[in-house]
Amino acid sequence: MSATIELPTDERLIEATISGDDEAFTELVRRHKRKVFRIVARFVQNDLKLDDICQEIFIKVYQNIRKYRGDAPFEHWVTKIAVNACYDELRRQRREGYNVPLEDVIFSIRDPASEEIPGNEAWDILKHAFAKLRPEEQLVITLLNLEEKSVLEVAALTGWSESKVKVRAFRARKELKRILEDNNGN
Amino acid sequence: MGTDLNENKLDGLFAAARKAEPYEKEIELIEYGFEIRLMAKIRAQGERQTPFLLWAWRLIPVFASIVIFLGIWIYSSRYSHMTDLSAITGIGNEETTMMAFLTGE
Repeated sequence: MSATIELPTDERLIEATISGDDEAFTELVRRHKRKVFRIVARFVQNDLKLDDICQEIFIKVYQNIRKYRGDAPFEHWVTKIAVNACYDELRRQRREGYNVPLEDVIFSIRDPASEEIPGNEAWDILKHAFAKLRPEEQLVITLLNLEEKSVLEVAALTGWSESKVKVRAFRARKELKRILEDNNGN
Repeated sequence: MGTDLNENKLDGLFAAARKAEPYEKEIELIEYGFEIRLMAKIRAQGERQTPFLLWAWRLIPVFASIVIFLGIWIYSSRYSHMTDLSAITGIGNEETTMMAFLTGE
């Protein structure tokens, strides 16, 4: 005899949250927090902001949960809120002039065909180079090249048209190449 | 400084960066008790909003009495203003009125 415990679906938990069950919302957070942490970690320049931004995202989810129409999975809706919060953070960083001088980061981009670049080293190089890009360029290149989203998915997440995503991605890649070439010691 | 970076090198850099888990240790720390801290913050925000709404309801009789008082004051000041105006216009006409009465016009 095997007893299986059926977990409530996201939709059931959303309904319960709307009717005032905070425990249901806690369960929703528990289910989706990992993905949100992972997305936010790609955009913040230091770990101090990580907790604050993740909390802000879930507060927005809680406040707007009645607006969730259910035409896409709840995870997509949460991701969209997270991406928008990250874009706001990138613009805030830009306004406040947050910029790590790339000259302080000594690096040389090795040829991936001859030698494998360690993940953390590659991420470190890109993080500092991204800081020199415009917020919309940082957002689009991170979603396309690091999160491996399609143009269509990026358009849905950002609310931009597909052609706008393509143009911004092209400019971002060109600018990133220029930044890296200027600072590549090889 | 400044060497040519081909597309393959850039793609290789992206592929390597995808393997990285940024702030992995920090995420583990933040994850611990995240829901509890979040719900506490949501409740605190809710409590901060409630007293304002409560006070707004409680102050309704005060606002209503101010409106009534202002209404009465505006009405009465307009009435007294009208009385004063008739008195002022009457001052210049006193002599004319008396002459008209005496001459029988």
